[in-house]
Amino acid sequence: MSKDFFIACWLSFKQTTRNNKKSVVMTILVVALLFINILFVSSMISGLISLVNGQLISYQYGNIVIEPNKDSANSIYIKQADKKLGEIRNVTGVVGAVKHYKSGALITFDHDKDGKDIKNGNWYLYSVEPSEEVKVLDMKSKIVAGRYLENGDRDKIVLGREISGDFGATFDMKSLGGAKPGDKVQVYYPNGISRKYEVAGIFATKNFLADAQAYVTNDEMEDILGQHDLADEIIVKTATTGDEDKYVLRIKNVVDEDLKYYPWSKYSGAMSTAITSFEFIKFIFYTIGLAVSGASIFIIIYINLLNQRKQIGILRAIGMKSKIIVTSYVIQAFFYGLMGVILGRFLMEYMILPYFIKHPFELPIGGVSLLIENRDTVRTILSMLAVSIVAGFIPSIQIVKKNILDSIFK
Amino acid sequence: MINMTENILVVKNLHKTYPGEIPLHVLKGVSFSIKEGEFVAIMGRSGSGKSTLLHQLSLLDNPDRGEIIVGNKELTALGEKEKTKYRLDSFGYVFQEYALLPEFTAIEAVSLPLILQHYPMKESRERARKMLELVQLGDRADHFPSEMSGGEQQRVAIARALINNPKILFADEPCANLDSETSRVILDLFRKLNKELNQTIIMVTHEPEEEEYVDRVIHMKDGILQ
Repeated sequence: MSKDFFIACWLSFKQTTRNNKKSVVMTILVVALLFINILFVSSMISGLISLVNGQLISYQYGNIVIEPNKDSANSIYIKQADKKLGEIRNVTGVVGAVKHYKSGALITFDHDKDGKDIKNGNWYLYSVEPSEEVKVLDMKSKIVAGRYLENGDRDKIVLGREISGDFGATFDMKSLGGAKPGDKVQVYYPNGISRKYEVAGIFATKNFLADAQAYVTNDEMEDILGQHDLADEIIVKTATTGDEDKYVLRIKNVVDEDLKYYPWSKYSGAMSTAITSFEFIKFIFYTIGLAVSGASIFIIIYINLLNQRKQIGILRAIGMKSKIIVTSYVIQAFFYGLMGVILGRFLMEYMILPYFIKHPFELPIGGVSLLIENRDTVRTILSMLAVSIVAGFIPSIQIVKKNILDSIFK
Repeated sequence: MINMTENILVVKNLHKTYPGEIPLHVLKGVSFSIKEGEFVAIMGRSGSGKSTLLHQLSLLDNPDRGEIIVGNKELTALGEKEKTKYRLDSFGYVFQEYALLPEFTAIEAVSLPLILQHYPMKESRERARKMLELVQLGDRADHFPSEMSGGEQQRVAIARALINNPKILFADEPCANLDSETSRVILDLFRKLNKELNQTIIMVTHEPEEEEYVDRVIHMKDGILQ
């Protein structure tokens, strides 16, 4: 068997290396393009999912959200929040931790300052400690006009673009109709207190929910609420994503209060439904792409082999075993498949991926780049190699079963 | 020394019909024998069944009925794998259209049957080179078919057919695609191999002038021997 396999390898080496060079190159190129075709669509959807998840982590929830356990505690707040923040920030792998107060608020804006056509809406207002906030949530980098909050700001507010109603807001109907930095807005808190703030800046993350929030400083909010050293939530940023359970255990070891811990994914809500839909679409595209690519590879190699029908007839006539012939053509087909996926992977990794990282698809929810997942790559490579083997096997077995004279002379 | 005393091939009552809307009964009970070392021509008009007969004898096709005995072995009953091995070990073929693989040089083409018999690559090449020298193509060993003339390609095919010391060399109109001068060279080579190596050769031809090269002519007409 080993000698026959060696002969099959020798035969396929000679035939492949001495075949028409253009034909060999074209076959490999087509297989590479088919490989890219499958991986491109799934990578784009993976990129989209990654973008959505990344937005949740970067602009809303960090990696872990800690909330008071309202079932077991009397308070609706996390107590001694500043002490807890210090403890959490010292946990290995924690990059940053911040506390937020969170309140619903009615925000109004008199654009023409004439008491007519006053725009208003109810929005979520968060409070932050600006110098620490930037270590956890990336809102500061998404300021599109004006500036972010600074520690000590008391009469300043930062608005998301959906509240502002400008800077590409997508839900203009409910907005303040175009509030800009420097404008004054009136904020009515649920406890009856009302404050006038100057808009310091507008941020636009392109995530609708994140862009429908407003921020003031913790000092300001504690003053409004008449509270101190409390928090509605603590947001924790960790060194890695996907290991949240591990970090939660570490945090629990240093925080003695009974709190609730949630990884960011628990907050994805409607987004998780969208992501599930994306995953399903990805699966459909992947399956169709694989079927089309598989059929294409099969046809290419099949035609290639049919053109060698006469040669197969000659080899059989001089006494070559059918299994050597079939093995040699399976090796050739495998070679085309292997070279194709290597070339496709190379083009994907070093040309297409860098290009789309530099020039992402600009979608309404943000710039979508490609994300090549190892799982998809391995699955695609294995599938295409399997298809190549089948594409070499079926026609060659058909031809060796034909009458020798038909193979040579017809 | 020429030994023409023993039958190397005995054919008994061979029949072959090609199925179709109107079945074509090509061989209608052919029987004959050929002695070892004989150079035999099978002649007849187009459609007489001479190529079909050669294909049955050389195990490239399967007869419907009859016996083909080489030495003491009846071949029609062999399975496909056994026939393949028999073709490799005991027969040599020269086709009208040379039947060389375009990706193989002359020396690779000639050494192929030995490689298939699991001879070492180096030994196979050495023997192939000697065989190419025998057919006066020693200097063309590393050339591809596309770099050779028709006559040279046919001589490579002959060298390939002889490399495994076949019991019988089958040639199916080996000169049909060659000019008369090149045909003479090929037929002289067959004659030389027949005389010097005592090689049994069965050749199909329809050229009357080729009769002078052979020991015996089997004439066929309408699927039977005349």
